[in-house]
Amino acid sequence: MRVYLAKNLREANKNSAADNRKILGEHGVLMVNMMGSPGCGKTSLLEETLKRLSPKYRLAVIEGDLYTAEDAQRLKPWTSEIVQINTEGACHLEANYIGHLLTQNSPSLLDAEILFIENIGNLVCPAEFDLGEDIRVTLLSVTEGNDKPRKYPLAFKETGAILITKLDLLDYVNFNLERATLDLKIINERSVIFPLSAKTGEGVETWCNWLESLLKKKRK
Amino acid sequence: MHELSIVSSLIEIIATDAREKGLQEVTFVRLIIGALSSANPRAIEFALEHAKSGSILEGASFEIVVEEAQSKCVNCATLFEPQLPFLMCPSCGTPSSSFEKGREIYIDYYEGE
Repeated sequence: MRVYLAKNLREANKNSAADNRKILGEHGVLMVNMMGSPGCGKTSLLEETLKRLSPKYRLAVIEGDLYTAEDAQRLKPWTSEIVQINTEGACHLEANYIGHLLTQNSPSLLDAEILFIENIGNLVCPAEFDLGEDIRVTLLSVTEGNDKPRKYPLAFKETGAILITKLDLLDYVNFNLERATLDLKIINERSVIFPLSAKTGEGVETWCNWLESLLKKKRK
Repeated sequence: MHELSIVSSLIEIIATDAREKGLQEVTFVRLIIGALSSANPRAIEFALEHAKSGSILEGASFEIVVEEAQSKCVNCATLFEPQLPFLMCPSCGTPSSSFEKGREIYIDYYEGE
């Protein structure tokens, strides 16, 4: 007996993502999925972002790492709503993990106005798994080199914002900001690009203002 | 490494469907992997061989077909085989096109008795 299914193997994840999107919509929570290589500066940028936004908004974070709760510890001064996920080897987060947190383990995450997800440091797999986020952002640090968007185009193609981080190191590394920006615009013309430095604070305000505008649009 | 989660999903979907249809075993599965799905066919094959044991798919063989990717130009709607990273339309030169085919992984059909 032959059975035609034509069934998408990522369908289960897509369904969970749609469920998450619905719950987040009902609670007016803006969910931001942050992706990028290990060491591209996701946690440092989150520290600076939380520092600026926490006086004004209720913030929450889901931290994804293979091991340790070090990142959750780093962010504690800025919010008490932090959940650390340790995937113990898995290379990305999936929508059902997030759904489980929102509905079962940590429903207080839904009291936040902005929920940040720091995805597993990886430029390949996280891009394949929708988590139900409102906006996906991909980080590219200047120390990684401006060839990375060409080498890992899908991580930059399917994202709403690209953050070029560690701008304070630009004079010390072989990174052509103009060329990188041009490549990124060709790969993804819809994405906004924010060059910034979590260390000096350059550009962080602009990024935070943009997040605020997304939140206002969502809660209108 | 996400090939394992794809394979677990495949086994679950087929096992559920086969049980609903009252089948005793699944003998063959045809799987389509998009050329730009970021899943490696050899890794999928390897994961399948390990993950199928103990399931209704234990005795199944697998055919994995790689589906060519296809893009559609956002400007002139030409269909073409995309070349990453820029997905430049061969007809009008516009970059940043969308994907029509080749990003998905799906089960075409399975056979069982």
